[in-house]
Amino acid sequence: MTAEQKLSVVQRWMQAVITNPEGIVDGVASEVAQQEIALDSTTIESFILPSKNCSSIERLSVYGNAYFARLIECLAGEFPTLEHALGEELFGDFALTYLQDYPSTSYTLGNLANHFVNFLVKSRPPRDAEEEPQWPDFLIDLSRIESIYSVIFDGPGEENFELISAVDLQQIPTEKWGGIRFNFADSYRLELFDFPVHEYVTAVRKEESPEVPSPQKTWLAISRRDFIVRRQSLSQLQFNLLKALVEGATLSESIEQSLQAVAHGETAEFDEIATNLQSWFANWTAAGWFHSLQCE
Amino acid sequence: MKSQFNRRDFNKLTAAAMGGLVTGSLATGASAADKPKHDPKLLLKEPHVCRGLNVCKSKGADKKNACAGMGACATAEKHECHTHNKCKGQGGCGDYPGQNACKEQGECAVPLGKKAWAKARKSFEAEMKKAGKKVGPAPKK
Repeated sequence: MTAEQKLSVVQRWMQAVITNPEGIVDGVASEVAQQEIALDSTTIESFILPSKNCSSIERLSVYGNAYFARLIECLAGEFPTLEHALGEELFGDFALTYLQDYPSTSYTLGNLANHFVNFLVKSRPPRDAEEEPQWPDFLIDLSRIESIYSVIFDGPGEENFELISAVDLQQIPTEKWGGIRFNFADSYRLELFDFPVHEYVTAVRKEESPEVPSPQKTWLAISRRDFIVRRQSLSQLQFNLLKALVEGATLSESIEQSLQAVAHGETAEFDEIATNLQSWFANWTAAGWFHSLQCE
Repeated sequence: MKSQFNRRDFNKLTAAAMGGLVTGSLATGASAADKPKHDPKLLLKEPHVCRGLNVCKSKGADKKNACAGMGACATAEKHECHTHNKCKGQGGCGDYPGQNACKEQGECAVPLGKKAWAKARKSFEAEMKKAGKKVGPAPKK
């Protein structure tokens, strides 16, 4: 075996040992490490020499601990508001447990947090379906919105796309208006939360100290434009209308479905609805939510 | 609500929505014309600055303790990314790296008990008490 081969064996062994989520002792005993270099607690000191103050295991632990500390640091970068809500130490507990359950396996740290929201959902203390959302749901909502912001930020944007022009719209015959279907911006997401977490996130970014909010159904449209992730709070009617459009319903179908979905017994003046629709579509178009239109 | 409007009403509502689309597209067209061309400096704000550890600038070893010299303990300088996230340098080995706290049972202990939710509850109760809010019963174990 050449010196280079020997080095690569030691590197692979070291990686297996220090990245083992159960710690250094388990890492040394792991199958992956044993396949590279077969050592146990009695023989390890002949391979990794102890120092004056630290045993071999303790010396390796420095690297193992640092490995996990850096990953926790990355997770904290992905979920700064959740870390704020939990506190650094407690966030670290959640993050470390997560890393034990979902060890980093990707070449990029961009994938490190892929399962974090799901991890929180799965590990959440149980709750009866009828109960109103509680603090664990707040934490899960926070992790969700931060994850969504990251995904949208990293994902495709509309920065280089032409938006719908008035000239294009004017070419659509009146009788075809109702049959128009909308293609939304790639980054566009409609999300429902149990808490107004978007406001909490904004307050934390402004370095305020917001209180944990009370549960409140929160409908949001989240998208990216000009390299900035933007969110807009919606009413339930707006959410239903946009959801129908996102799902491929025509303009007239979406209007009809969303108005029907509004709570029974609620009445609204025709003129008021018409004015609202005009104003909403003006704002949504100006916001760049609609990528293009399809006519039947 | 279902029977509140007839077909003709829905046609009028569709027309209202189309009117909004035209108004919005005019606003978009105007802002697009005013918009400066692509600014390459924006690339410097790309989000992976936080994520790729090797991109985070290492401060190097402080040569004072067992944790030092690893790079892992020397953390990134504070800087903005994602336009809001802070790459926080938390130090790889707890608050007292100079005291050789980097043992398996120490600050950065591996593994750690899976009791985070229980601790979270305690922390939540303390926060709510501080805010003068009532807290419901703890979730079942």
